[in-house]
Amino acid sequence: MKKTFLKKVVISGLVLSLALTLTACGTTNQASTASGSSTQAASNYPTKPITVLQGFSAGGGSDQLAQMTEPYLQKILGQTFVNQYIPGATGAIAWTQLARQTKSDGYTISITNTPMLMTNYLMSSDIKYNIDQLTPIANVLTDPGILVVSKDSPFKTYQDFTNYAIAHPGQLTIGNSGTGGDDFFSILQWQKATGLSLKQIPFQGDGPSWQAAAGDKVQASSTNLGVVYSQVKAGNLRALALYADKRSDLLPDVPTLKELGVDMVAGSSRGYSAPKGIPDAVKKKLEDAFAQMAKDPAFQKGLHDAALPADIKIGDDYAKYLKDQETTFKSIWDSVKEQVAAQKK
Amino acid sequence: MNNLMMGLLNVVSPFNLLAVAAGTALGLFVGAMPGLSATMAIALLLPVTFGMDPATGISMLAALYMGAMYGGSISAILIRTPGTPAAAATVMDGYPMAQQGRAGKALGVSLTASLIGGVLSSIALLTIAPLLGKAALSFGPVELFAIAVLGMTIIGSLSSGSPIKGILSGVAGLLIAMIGMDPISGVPRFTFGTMYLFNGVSYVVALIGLFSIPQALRLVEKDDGSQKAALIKDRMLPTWKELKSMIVTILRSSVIGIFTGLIPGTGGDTACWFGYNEAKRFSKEKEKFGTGYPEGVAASEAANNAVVGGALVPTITLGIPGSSATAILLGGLMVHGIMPGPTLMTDHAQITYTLIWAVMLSNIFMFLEGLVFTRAAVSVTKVPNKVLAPIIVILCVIGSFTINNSINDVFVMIGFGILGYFMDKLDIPTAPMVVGMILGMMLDNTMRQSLLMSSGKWSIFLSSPLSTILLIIALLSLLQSTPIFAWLKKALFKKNAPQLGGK
Amino acid sequence: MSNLAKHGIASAVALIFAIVFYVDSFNLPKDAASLPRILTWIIIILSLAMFAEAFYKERKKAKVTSDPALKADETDEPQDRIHVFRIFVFAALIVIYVALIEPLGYFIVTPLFAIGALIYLKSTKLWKSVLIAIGFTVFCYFLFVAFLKLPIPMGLLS
Repeated sequence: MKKTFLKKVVISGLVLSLALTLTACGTTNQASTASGSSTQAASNYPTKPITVLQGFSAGGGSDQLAQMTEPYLQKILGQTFVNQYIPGATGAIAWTQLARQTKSDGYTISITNTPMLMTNYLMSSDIKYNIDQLTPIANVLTDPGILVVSKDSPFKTYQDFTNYAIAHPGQLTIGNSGTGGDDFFSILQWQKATGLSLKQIPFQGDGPSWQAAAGDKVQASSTNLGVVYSQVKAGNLRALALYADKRSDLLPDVPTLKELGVDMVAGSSRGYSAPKGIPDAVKKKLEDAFAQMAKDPAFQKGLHDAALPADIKIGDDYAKYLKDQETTFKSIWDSVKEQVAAQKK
Repeated sequence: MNNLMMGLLNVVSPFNLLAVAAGTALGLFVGAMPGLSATMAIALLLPVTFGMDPATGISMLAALYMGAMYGGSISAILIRTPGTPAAAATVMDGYPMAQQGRAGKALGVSLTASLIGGVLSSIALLTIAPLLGKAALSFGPVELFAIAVLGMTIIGSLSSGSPIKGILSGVAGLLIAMIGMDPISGVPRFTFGTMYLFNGVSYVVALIGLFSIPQALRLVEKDDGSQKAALIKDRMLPTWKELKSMIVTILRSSVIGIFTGLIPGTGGDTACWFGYNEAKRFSKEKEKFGTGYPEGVAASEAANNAVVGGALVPTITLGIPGSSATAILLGGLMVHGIMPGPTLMTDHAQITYTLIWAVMLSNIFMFLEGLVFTRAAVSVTKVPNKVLAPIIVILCVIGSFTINNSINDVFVMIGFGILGYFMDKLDIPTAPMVVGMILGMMLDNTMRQSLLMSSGKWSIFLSSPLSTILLIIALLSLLQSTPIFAWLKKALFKKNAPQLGGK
Repeated sequence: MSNLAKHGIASAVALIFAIVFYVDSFNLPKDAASLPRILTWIIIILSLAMFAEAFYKERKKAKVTSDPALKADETDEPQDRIHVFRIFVFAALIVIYVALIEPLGYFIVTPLFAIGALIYLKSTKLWKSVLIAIGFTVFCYFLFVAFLKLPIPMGLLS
């Protein structure tokens, strides 16, 4: 008994000293990079793994993007990516950390999802970051909004749907992924554009929303193409309209809202952003990496297979896109806010 | 049938067998660690499987899920700390059994019940999955509300002693669940200006605190050196006679588990309580529950393992995850380039059937590995109480930190721990609070969604036969705990007795 | 502390909890506030009921203390003596431990907490305490950091 105990002592001692040495090595490494002149560090970038803050749990949509892009970026940049999941407050905890507490050296970036990136702080004064505190690097994909109904629904076409909405103002029940989510805003945008009104039923996420439509619990659901593509393909859901610029080659029979006379485009996009003030050379390097990845046919095929439409916007294009979106959501939310305020007791 | 055979052949290839065995073993271990739930373990292991063949990778993850469901009961029984939230109900009778020196038996009952629950749910998955899968879509807000209401009646049966205290604890749990971003109105509720509370108080974090920290404190209260005779020589597995006495409970819990798994949004965390509650309801010896009654352990454990197969049913037939763990499995499939959805069983039959057989096999691995692992784990009871106490604290701290990578969660965990200690001292049960926290959001959301749909008319809850039946059951169980029911039963029984005699 | 006083404090805590939530619910839209407000009322009623129940029991007990049968019950209690001060110190150690994790790092504070707690509780011999503390910390390191690759607060070590 005593012997085994001693043995354990020796082993744990060895292991501990090893662990200490390793951590010590880690610290010295980091110290040396920090002490090197910043311009040199920037031109050598990246010399150590890049941390990616994710505002959502592992296995979610944000993680899906990470798993699809990071192997390619790793090859191009020659450094590994470390995903750090900080779920909470629809991404706001991670993004606040990115905007306010992260060193702007390019070794910590984050996956930024619209519209949550903007609506978080537009809707709540408790959330203290904003997109001006970020350096948008690149948008990777935009999952367009889509209007779906159950396969047994009396709405065979978009016209059936609008006719019902005209005849029953404020009666047609439509599921969204939660108040403040992309689908909530899409429906508001649609109501504003058409002058019709629907009855929004918020669910906790896209899944419950389309499932309620498929089970005929609500009359329709506004969700995203990537989410319901396989359900539409298998005939469990019928797609009435796509909120994209042009038809998707995945569902070529589904008309866009623009074709149907409603001038709107909506969806949720996912990309990467860094904190404000990263060195220009680092920014350039990251942007080039995304541009190079976007050309890779294997990467394009991966996105296509997952029914996720690529939407590459690099650097300033992405920044402008975010800013435009911010303006759109702000104006929509401001008009809704009055209604919400009126609802308060 | 062809696909069935192909899947079986696929799964018995040495590499796949190894993956399933390894996944199960990892699940047992991770499940036993407080804070590391099955969902998290699957998420952590997901990147490892990217290098594998999709069928192998997904099978390994499903095996891990199965293993973790049993693994959670090990720490629940031995140190009163549920390893996963799905083992919370196992504490109720498992820990008292361990205190009486029957830790080995409790774990044996748990393992056997887990095996039966798991096998039954695998059979359901293999045979009637397409049929059952359709049922998942019949649960909308109205039906889910009825389930949440039914779930709330569990609180009644958990508050032995003073019903006032039990209900108080449950309602407080419900109110705590209201904290956080409200998806219906889009405003944060009771967050008092802190962003941390936007996601609400995680019941997983609270659960660790409420169950484990009071236990750590209790262990140092007194001087007796512990050694509650961990009779490992004592037969672990239940005898045939013992098994026969609880087989009805195990079967009932298995069915409950399969259906709870099937319903999107509810998983093992809820199923264990439902299983426990129904076992108690139908038992002739209600008063024995909570005092170290093997049937209580069996009821909870059969239910949470049955969830695995149940939750996979809508996952593979419709692409709807039946629980949070299967949601991550679906995410894993997507990264492998497989679109989860209704086409899974036809277009990707090879992967799907391999997965189903892997789940079946993982039961056997769970049983064999469980026997070995448990024997080692029982030695925990030989550790002196005063050594165990700080170790429990350290595990809880790291466990609650890793869930959301947040130090605030650790503070909340300790806060609930201290609260739990005082609640124990006042004989206020903590279990109802956990049930309240699990069901609170579901109750509030589905109620308001339904009322939105009906423009405020409450009659919507009786509009679907399913919800009507569930609500009637809820009403009955409510009446059961009041004197009216006993009186009614007496009156009815008197009337019926002669008729029965006549036959 | 008497049983009644303990219940009094518990009821007061529950009341404050409910009232804080009740007041805060007025910042919410009516729809979002409805269920929470009902819950706060239930808590208020139940916490008063709990106190009343304790009060009633106390009075009943006081009436029958002369009964020799119940006396035996009370003499049982001292046997189960609880080290209140020890619990307090141990809880304080836990709180300090948790508070220092973020600034100093898990792998520095954990062995210190374990050694401190084991020595204070006189759990085992000193050298064994040190070994258990360090051994368990190393185990945690390998399980969570090296094997599961989870981010753990490193504090000074980072």
